[in-house]
Amino acid sequence: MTSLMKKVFNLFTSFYSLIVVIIVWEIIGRSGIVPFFFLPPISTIAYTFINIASDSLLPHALLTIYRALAGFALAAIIGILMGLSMARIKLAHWFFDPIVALGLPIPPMTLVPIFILWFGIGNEPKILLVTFGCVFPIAVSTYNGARNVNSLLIWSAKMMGTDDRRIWWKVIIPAALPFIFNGLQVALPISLVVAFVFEMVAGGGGLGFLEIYSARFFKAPELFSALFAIMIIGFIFDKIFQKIRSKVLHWAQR
Amino acid sequence: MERKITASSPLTFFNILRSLSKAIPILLILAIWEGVTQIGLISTQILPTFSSILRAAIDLIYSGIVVHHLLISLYRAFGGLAVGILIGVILGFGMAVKKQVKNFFDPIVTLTYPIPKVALVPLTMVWLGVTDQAAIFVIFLACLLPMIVNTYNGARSVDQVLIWSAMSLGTRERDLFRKIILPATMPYIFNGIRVALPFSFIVVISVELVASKAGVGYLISGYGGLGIYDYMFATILIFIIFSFAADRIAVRLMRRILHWYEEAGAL
Repeated sequence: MTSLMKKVFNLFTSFYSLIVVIIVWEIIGRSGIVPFFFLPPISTIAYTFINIASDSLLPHALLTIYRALAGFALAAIIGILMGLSMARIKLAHWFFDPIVALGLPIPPMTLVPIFILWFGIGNEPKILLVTFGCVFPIAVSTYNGARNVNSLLIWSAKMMGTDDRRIWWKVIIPAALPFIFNGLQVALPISLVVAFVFEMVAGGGGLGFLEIYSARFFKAPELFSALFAIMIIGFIFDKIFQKIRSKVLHWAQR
Repeated sequence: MERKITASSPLTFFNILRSLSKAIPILLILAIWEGVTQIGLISTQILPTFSSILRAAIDLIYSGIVVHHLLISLYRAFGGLAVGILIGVILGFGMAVKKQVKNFFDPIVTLTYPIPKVALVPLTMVWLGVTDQAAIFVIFLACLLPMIVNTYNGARSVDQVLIWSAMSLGTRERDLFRKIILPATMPYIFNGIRVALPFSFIVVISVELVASKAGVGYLISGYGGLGIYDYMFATILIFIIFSFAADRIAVRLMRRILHWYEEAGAL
């Protein structure tokens, strides 16, 4: 019995601060110390969130998720291919290394106006800028992983008669996989941020648009609903990614 | 990308040749860019010629326009970064040392870590208006979390043997922090700063693109809106070079400060 009490107590201490934050928020919101559009009470926000969930939040959220994930997938394919080829092919390394070194520190948001100029304000510029923002971290991690494959593994595989193609699939890629996942993990939140900010700047639907639109019209509960929606999506993305990672990499110790 | 410490190599003909060959892919791309736009294969309304962008960049620097806006952006970025480092380090140490502090902040940190901080820009616009403070506040939040996480991890992983040796040699409790824990955590704190520095640049540009009356982001969107694309590209180019240089300078500085740390070269 005491162990159960202890468990409950431990559970409570692990998230009681969130309850404190919510209560303080509610009190400040209701007391009228701050104007309503600064900080509406959290119960009002929850009410609005549920009210607009199906006909406003969900379509906007799906649009943002689509843009982020499409760009992310494209970046994953390009980045992994780039990283692998850089690690194993001299010519590819010669060509891509300076490009990656220059591209990695570029804040993707600076390119928003250029992408609007080139691709308009539909889905394409958003997806492509997400790709741009995600491709370099993925390429760098993949490169580091594939370059540091233990030579003994490759030698042993060769000695036992593995041909070149199978060395790629059976040795190099599995050995680089933990690094590839590190790169993907860094890139995943970037994809959401870039899609979101692009929507804030250029419009065209999505949660970013919904939020900036609500701010312009001082619709504070809607603004906070959009904010919570992107929070929840970011959180769920992270959790799902961790799940996939531990499924795929169950053989690698962390 | 390989960041090994190499002893400053002598400037032999071979070395110059080698560093030149590294620049060839970039030069190749620039040459194709210049050629394609000069011939008119791609309209200069879509992609200005590289030479016109360079001319615009020189003009922007000489006339002082870009310097003015860059200083404003830097003030915001470094202001937010500085506050973020200060409070992040304090909270990180607090969480590592006191269990109550950790219990309070841990769920908040894990819950807010994966959310894009730029999403808070419209909110701070409502709260603080389109001001420097609004920008600094968002940048502060973006830099805060990596600082907390890195400081916490660093302070937790201080080699226990170091603490025991210091204690057995008679180090007092309050000197322990200054002489052992703080220096041992330094590499982690610097790692956090290296993560937070590009965050501050990314966020300041985003904030200024969304809403501002000055700064590099304002300049970029202003030129873009007016259709003066060579100046827009030039401003972006200058900012990219600047953020690239800032990262290099930060790494140099950290290596110099951490010269005693064996793995400083890996930073």
